[in-house]
Amino acid sequence: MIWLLCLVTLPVLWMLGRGLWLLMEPKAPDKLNTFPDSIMTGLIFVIGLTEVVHLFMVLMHASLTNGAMLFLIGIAAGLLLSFLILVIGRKNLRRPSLKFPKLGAASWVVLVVFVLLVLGQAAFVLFSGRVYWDRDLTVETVNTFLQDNGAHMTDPLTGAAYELGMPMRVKILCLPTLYAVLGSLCHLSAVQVVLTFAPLMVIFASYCAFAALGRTLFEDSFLKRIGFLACCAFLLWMGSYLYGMEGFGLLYCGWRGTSIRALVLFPYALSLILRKKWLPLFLCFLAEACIVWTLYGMGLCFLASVGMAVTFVIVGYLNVNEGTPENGRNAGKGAK
Amino acid sequence: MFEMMRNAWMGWTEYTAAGKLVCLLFAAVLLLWLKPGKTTHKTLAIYAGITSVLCVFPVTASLLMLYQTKFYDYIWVWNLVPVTALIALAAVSLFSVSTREEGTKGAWKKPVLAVLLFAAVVMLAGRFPVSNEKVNDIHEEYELAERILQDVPKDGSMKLWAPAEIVTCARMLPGDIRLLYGRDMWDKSLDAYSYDVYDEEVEKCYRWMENVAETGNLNAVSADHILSGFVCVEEALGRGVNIIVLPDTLKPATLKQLESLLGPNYDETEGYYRWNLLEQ
Repeated sequence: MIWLLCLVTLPVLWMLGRGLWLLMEPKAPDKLNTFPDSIMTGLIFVIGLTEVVHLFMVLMHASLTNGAMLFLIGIAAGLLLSFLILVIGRKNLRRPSLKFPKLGAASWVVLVVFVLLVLGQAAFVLFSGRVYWDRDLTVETVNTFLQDNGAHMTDPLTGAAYELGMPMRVKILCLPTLYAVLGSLCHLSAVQVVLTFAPLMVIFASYCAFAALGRTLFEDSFLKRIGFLACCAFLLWMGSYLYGMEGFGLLYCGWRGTSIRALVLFPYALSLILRKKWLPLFLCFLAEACIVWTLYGMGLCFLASVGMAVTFVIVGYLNVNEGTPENGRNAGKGAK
Repeated sequence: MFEMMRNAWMGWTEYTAAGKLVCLLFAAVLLLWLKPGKTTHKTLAIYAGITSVLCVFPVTASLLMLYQTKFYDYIWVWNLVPVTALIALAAVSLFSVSTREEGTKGAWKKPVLAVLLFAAVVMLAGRFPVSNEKVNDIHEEYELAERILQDVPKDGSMKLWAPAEIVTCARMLPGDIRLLYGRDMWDKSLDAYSYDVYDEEVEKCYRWMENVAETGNLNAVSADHILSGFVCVEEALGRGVNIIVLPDTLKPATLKQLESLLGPNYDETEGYYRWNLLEQ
């Protein structure tokens, strides 16, 4: 069932994201708008929809069954909207080339290495049984949602009713509801959704985010882009020695909001900043606020945007100070 | 604030003691800064350099920790730095320099050697598959709880009191098993998820359970007083516990005394004794 859910999720995310991306970026898509953008937009839509469902369940005391129904309706509406946008906006779409691009020997070798590294990570998540559930209670929370058929009705760690309640800033985070809805709809246990399905999806989404960033950095060379991804995959393997590092999040606790932020939203936000796509970037801020505890909605993606804006100014100043006409033209492009 | 700066500094020393990937990051920033390249590369490198410095120095790191809220530890401020992406970017930039002699005989040797050298450096700076953290094992912990509790009704009618290794996964099992206390009894970071606290009697039950698991004695010595097994068991029963699991390392005298309190009908399974008081 997990495999079926994975197989269904990918085209749904792509379809959702393809049309919604065209809605946000209605001008003829440039060559940097690709499959990763569609997946990421679809993922952000799903997070936003889940937040609506979660707030509906928490504030209106609705059941998980009703929440799941609302989620399905939202997905269906999103797919329909996306389809309509694609039909109406088809003139602006770049037709995908059906010809497989001719790759050199080096590109093939690096591609194979990358695929092996990623498959190894997926196999590790599936079969090693090694997870890090300390400092986190997502599995218990999802299990409790499934048992109570509602959100935050009882203490997930004991099963007893709350006496004093829980902080609102934790209560509004929507990931447990997403996992509970998927578990409810697909008859999967909390452990299966949280410890298996979610990390697999995060692995996929993280490489989509890194691919978007790689495409931004190396738009002229497939070999460099795939080399970038292969290096990322290798670094994530080797950088998994400490809780809080990206590799640790990917391999041991991919379901957590902090892992999704570090591996998916943050690299994607960087690519959006470099491409100056402000509306999708704003949606990244909102998505982060829905899945991790932030300072009144301002998270690390927002802070990174501020940091990058300052960096653009510094780079522009440095390029202008270097004084050559060519650098002056570059400063204009880099500092905007 | 001073406490936060101290935590920031301790966090930084722990971060660098565990592995040296952050050194590669600084090397990558230096390479991208000095090497002629695209503006996007330099922008990302300058951003990573500035944010890394902010994360290292205790004053700025404390401000970042305040910004990300006190819920998160120091290590999470490093999420602001694109460590993986920047090192990968620098590596690819370096490899592209080594391929400039493309088309000449044996031109593949240099890039291959560069890749192997990079892999060796990363393996020395990082660590896999051993993690510094004690990660959990589904096959050991979750499946143990599954086996111990497999025939226990999970409809909310059962309330369990057991050693920590079983309590850890009891609420993860499909169904609804109530607990006398949860993982937040020993994992204090989970206190942030709820305003509820355990009262002292429940804490005594936890201390007694962990002590009896270690010593096998009925009475536990805790701080300056003795935790009586009878008192703790009566307290747990008074709070509705009807499944009690104890390790089979109990001394025979202890087991006999518990039988007098809980009854002689218990199961012995997977290295534990299990009393199901609803069936008695």
